[in-house]
Amino acid sequence: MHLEESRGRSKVFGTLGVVLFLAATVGCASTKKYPLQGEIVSKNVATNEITVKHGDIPGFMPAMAMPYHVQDPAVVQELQPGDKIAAEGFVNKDTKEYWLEDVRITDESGRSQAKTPVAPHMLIPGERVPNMSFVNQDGRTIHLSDFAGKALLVTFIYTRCPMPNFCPRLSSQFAKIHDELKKNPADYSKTHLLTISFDPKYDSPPILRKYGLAYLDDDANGFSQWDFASTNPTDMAHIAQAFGLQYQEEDNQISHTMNIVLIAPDGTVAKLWSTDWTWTELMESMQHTLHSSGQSSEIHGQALYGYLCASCHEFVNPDLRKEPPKLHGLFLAKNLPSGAPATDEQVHHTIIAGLRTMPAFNQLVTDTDADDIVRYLHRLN
Amino acid sequence: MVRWGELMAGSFLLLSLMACSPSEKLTNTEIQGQWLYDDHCAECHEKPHPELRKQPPNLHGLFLAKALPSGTPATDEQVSKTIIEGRGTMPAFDKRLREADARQLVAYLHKLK
Repeated sequence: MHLEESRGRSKVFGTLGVVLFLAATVGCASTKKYPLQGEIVSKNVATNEITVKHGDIPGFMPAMAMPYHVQDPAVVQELQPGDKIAAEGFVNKDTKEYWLEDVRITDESGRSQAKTPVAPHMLIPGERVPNMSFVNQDGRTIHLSDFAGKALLVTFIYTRCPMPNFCPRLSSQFAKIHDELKKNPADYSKTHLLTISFDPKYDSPPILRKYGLAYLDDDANGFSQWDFASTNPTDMAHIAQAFGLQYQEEDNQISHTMNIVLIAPDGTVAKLWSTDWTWTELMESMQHTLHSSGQSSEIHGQALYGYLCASCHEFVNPDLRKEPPKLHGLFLAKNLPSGAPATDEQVHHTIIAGLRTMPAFNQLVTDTDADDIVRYLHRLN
Repeated sequence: MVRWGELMAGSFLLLSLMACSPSEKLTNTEIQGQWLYDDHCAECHEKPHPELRKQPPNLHGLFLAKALPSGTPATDEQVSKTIIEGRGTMPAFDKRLREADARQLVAYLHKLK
């Protein structure tokens, strides 16, 4: 938000010409004030912004969670997520800019229970992303594991979003990234964009397809590197938790936060963004994580291991009949846990066909994928 | 300096008053439409959005041209349809506005010049 402009009203009215122009084009030029009550979702001390979840404020803002600029930095320091606040919301009807003044804490008892952006269940950079599946614009099921080995940039939208600084901005800026990546075929083939709708009831595959085409200038080939997808509400709630996304349907629209996640080629979180980003920063981060990754088949195998193997082989699950063995140092022993010789072929076969209580993965991985997992297992000691 | 400031303030007040009392009186339907326009359309259509893929067109004088910015004929039906179903990067407003709202909006858009 460029609050400097809106605050410099005296500057705007500096010449009669501008006054004439304003009066003639917009009618009653003024800043309007609206009382606002809400709850702090998060804050950004660097930009002096607080994200406030509030009800409908007629003439000012529909019910939603929304970042606002606050004039006094000391106020932002003091506020904590979960605080209930009262404030004056201002909107400049000419520039359409808005900000908060006179922010007062009315109730700080919610502080300890508030979900902060670093809640334990939320993924942090460096952490492995669990596999997730979605249905895309073609009605096809896709998995995060399909993008193993690539730099994957993920964001969350709903197609009906009318706030130009939210979903339309996200999709427009993703489109810009897509345009740029396309100019470099080597990078293009190793990157992927994923736009996930948190409104699966409305955003069916045909709606997502139409939406995607509008941002791909009607070129359906772009879907090969940019998927528009959704999943069922239960899974979506878990996915939102993992990435710190908050959304809530109210009066036929959805209040939501802005979240962007970059997943590195090895399947870990590389970086997370909320309100403060530019498309060049996102794209450069994608290129950086891509070019700083090691040998690609091994990294590909590492990501597949993280998505497909780690959830059973790295965690103890007492409900299982047989505990899946640890795979660290698998090839250091002569024999596999099953007793079969520890060869690449044997491990490859087990991945594809399964073994006893381990399911077959032939639907999720190709032979090349299995080879890459084997390659990574040699390194996992 | 002071006189110049007073003159400015006076001119501004006068112009504001003029702007606040339009010569052409709006009907109730058009006033309803104006409210809807301010709430649902102005945010995108009245202000440049350099970060958007496509710039939402200015809607002043929409019905003065033969064709809409999309190239389709500038009819009430076409504009209503666009409001309800969306078009290109413009989102659908079907969950937020009803047919009657779209009619009021169209009535106001005829007056918005």
